[in-house]
Amino acid sequence: MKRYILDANFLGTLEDSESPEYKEIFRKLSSLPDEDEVCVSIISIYEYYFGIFNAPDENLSQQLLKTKDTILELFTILPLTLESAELYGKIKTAYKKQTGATRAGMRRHNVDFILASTALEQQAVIVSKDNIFSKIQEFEQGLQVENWTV
Amino acid sequence: MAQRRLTIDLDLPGSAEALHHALQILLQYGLISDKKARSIEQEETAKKGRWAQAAERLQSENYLKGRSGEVRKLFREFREEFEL
Repeated sequence: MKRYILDANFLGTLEDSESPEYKEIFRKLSSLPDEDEVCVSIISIYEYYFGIFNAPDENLSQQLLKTKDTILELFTILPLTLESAELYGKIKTAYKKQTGATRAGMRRHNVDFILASTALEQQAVIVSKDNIFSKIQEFEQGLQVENWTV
Repeated sequence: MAQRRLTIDLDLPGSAEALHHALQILLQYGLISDKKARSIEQEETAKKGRWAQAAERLQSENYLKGRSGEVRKLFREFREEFEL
């Protein structure tokens, strides 16, 4: 049994069949065995709510609201925990030391660090195409990442 | 009028939508009953795994209809401003 955590960008693509990456992601999700678990971090739900209230028009806001409801029905929502908080601190510090990233650069990746720490805690695979996760893998070999768009 | 029975193997794309459209065409020409069409759709859905069914649900809803790029921009804005 495998557990996956979908990055929010992947979730958006799953509700947009016109996206160029849609077919490949659809194929990967369809081929998973029943015993696998597909999850979403609670932080991604925060992202959705920000999008719902900050959308440039009411149409997009409603589209996002419906998408969020489907996600809550189909996938397991993973909370933030004490264990993942510790891992977050460890990953973020190691990344800072390794890359010498600026404060703005570090801030931009806060959500990614949260996703990575949740994935490590849950022994789950992050589904994302962001290469920040490959960089984290350089010092956290236990982190598993898959890109379903290739 | 005498009826003739004909069996055809169809190679349809894997989606429920394709099967639904094919059955609608057969219904339109009176080549299949409503009841039969419904039972075929139900059988096909039951055969599929839960993630294939989930993917098909997402495909049929298609709520973002070409706007996922704008959604990614909103998520990027959230991430660039997010601090703990």
